[in-house]
Amino acid sequence: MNGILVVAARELIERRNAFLAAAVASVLPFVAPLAPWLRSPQVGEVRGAAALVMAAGLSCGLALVYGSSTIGRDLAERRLGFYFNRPLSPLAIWGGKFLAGVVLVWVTPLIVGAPTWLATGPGFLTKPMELRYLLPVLGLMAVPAALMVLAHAVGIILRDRSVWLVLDLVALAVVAVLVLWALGALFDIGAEKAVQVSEWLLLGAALTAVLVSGAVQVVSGRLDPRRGHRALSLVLWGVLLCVSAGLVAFAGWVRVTPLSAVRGVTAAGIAPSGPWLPVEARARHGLGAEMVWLLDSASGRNVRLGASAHLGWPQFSGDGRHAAWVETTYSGSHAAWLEPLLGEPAKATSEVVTLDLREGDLRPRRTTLIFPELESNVALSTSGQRLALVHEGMLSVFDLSNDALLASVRQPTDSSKFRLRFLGDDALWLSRAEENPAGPDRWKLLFYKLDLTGRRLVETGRVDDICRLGDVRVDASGRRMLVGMSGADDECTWSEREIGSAALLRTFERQPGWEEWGARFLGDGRVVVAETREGRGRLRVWSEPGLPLRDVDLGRTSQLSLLGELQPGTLLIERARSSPRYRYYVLWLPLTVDLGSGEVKLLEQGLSPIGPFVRAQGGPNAAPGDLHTSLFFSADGALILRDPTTGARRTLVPVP
Amino acid sequence: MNDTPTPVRLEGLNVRYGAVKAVRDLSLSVWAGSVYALLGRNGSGKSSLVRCLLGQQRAASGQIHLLGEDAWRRRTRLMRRVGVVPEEPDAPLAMTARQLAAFCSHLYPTWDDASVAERLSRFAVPRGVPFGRLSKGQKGQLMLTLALGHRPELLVLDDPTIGLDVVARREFYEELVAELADRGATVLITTHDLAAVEGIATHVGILKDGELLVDEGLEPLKARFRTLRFGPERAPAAGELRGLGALAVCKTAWGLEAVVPRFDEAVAARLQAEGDVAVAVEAMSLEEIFSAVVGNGAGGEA
Repeated sequence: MNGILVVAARELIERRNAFLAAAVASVLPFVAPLAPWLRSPQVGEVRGAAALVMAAGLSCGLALVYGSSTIGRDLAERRLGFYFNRPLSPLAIWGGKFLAGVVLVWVTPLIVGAPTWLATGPGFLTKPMELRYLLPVLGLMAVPAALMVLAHAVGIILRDRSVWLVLDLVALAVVAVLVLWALGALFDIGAEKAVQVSEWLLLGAALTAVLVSGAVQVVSGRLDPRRGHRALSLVLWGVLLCVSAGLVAFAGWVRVTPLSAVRGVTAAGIAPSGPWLPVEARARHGLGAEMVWLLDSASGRNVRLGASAHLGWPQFSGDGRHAAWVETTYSGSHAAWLEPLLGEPAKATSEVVTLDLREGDLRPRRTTLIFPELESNVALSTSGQRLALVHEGMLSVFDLSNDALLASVRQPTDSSKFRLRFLGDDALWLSRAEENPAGPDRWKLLFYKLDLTGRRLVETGRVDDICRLGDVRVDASGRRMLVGMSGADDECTWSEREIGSAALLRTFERQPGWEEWGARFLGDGRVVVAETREGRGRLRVWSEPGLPLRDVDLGRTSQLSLLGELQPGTLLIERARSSPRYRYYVLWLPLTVDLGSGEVKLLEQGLSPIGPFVRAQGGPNAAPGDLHTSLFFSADGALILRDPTTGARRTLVPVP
Repeated sequence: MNDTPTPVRLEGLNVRYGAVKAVRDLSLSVWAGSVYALLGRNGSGKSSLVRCLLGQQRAASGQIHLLGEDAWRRRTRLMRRVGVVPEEPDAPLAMTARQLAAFCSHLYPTWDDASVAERLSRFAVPRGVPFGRLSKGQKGQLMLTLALGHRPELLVLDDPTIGLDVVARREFYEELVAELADRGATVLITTHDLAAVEGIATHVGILKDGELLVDEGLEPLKARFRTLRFGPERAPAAGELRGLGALAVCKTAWGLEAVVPRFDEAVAARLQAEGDVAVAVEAMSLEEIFSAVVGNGAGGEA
């Protein structure tokens, strides 16, 4: 320690003129407001800004000069022997010089700024020591210190002028390529947190490597510049190559996460028929990365489609044997993940990808259907042979056997709230929502049909004032739908309508004071409406012709959710009640309701139906006992398949 | 023999700069109390050897023991017992003699302020003048003063008088002799000032192209080297010169000169006894021996 202090003191004495220069510079902020281009009524602010700029500039300038010369120049001019001829360890020499440099780059800005602060008040120093005040100060301290050690390394490398310089440049290029690839790969899969963590990790590793390699250069090289350069380069690039290679391995490891190793399912979907479901889950240690798989719930087969950030949600054909989705790639002058830095948006290209789920080898097929960024998801026909999409204001239908265009018409408006749905292979329905100026959460819903032969889009019906846009339900036959209609008191009343013409078939009258929570068709055509009033819930069951059959009391609850039929006549619902511990949270409880007897039972502890998390495809009502009512999340987040009859469980997506 | 370790012991030392071998398989020892003059032409490897000896540069191979310890690993500790005068005075230019002495006093437990002050006075080195403004002679004297300030057991002088004028050189060596007389320190000196070092050296090593051609006591060295001058009447035959082991032979206006590294009185007497061969036998100075060993392309064992 004595050696470090002795060396540091000597170095500071030799550079005492820097402190003198800082003292002279400390006067300049008082003169700055007199400069014509800096004249302002806010004299104090101009003075403070000038002091800050001068302090930071002087500190960084000194850091660069000192760092690049303190050992490199001594070595070149054979002056380092002055220390090495004396009982000073190499670490003491390095430590003393580093300590002197740190004092120099930290004290000189204080000297520059002190008179200004004294004149204008202590400013932030009077604020409590909060992180938001400390971080900029720590940054102002860290940047010059980092510049100093970096300048030292660069100074040693450039002064040696040996073949190691070439190796340094090669190593720099390799590290840059590895880092850019790794960060790009992580950003590409949406792992933005991982990118941030990696950036800090790289910065920390780089600073540590530069600091340690500088010390090793002195310890190992001593008065031999070439040996010192070699030691510095080995440590510096060794550390950086290891870290960047590790980062590449990490990014690659995250990108190939198997479904069995995910950290938790974030969303799921269900095909209109068949065992397949799309699953979105957090990649292992992805720190934000979410990926999408297609999973066969019967066999467990699955295929990874890619990063959630680049994929449209997969859509299935009506027969459940085909899937299609849109994959967006970014190109242009720079990668998308540089957008926050460069400000220019990258060019996006959307490509339609299909997958035949009947094949043993699940290999996605990239179609020739490539567009500028698509405005919607695609829709597949019942057999999966046709595909509809909207691009640049045009509604188009393609034959997937040869990617040929079958029909293309201009869509009615540029509204982005629309949904496409095939009825068979020859008719395409388009429903489009428009905001209703009558109030919030009130909508107009318009229905259109595309005649593929005549290539004309015809409006077939409309509902002018609907509520609960997301809860529109279609029956199993695909001919009827349940639509919530806004009333004068902003409450919803459910109505049944013909799906094409939107003609009103019947209304399920709401009793005064009851709040509607949802409605759905049962497999036999009956309709169930969920309601609450004054903290109690009930189900109202209506016959297919629209006659009230019975009411089932659900007990105390604040919210209700209808999920589907476990078996014919047995409904799976969720009932919410307030959390005793957390005021703003509700607890959901899965219940089965026997609509015949009116018996209400708790399904099973620790199971959460995935129904509320399902991303709907907009198909007909689910059949009793299908995946809508047999898929659950376990308490630890695993995706579970539960047999609706026996209650036996099978884990589809485990959670480590 | 006593248990005191040999102050300097090198075994199989090799120093390389890329493909260039600066020192080749060099072994030497400097005994306690001796003054070892390491001689060699520029680029012969002297400074590389000194840097390795002081633990400032890593040798490619070989062992270097300084005061009985590994010079590379124990350098910091060893430097408390070693005084160094470098080839080029390397003190920071802005520091005065007073500041330099104060700096060193913090590093050496045995620092002797009084003797340093006394020596500076004797050399008339101004204590308040920055090092960069001192004359070359004063710089050399100040470096010697700093090297002696902690009463080192071993003094390593790397061409300390290079660039000094005659007076400064004389003063330097006088001070060194006085130190030797007072304390009997061991000295390793590399120098081109052969005349001056001849007066104080006890042992001599001569380096050529990284190889140590001579490593022995000064007196035995001077005793075995002779110049034989043959008159013009009859030059000796080549075979005769080979028999004498002549290292360097040159023709002069009045005859022929041969340097004999292993002079034998009996052989000289036999030559003279054989007849009309006039042979003059002359002792050689260190400078003449050095020139004969390293000059004119002569090499091999001397």
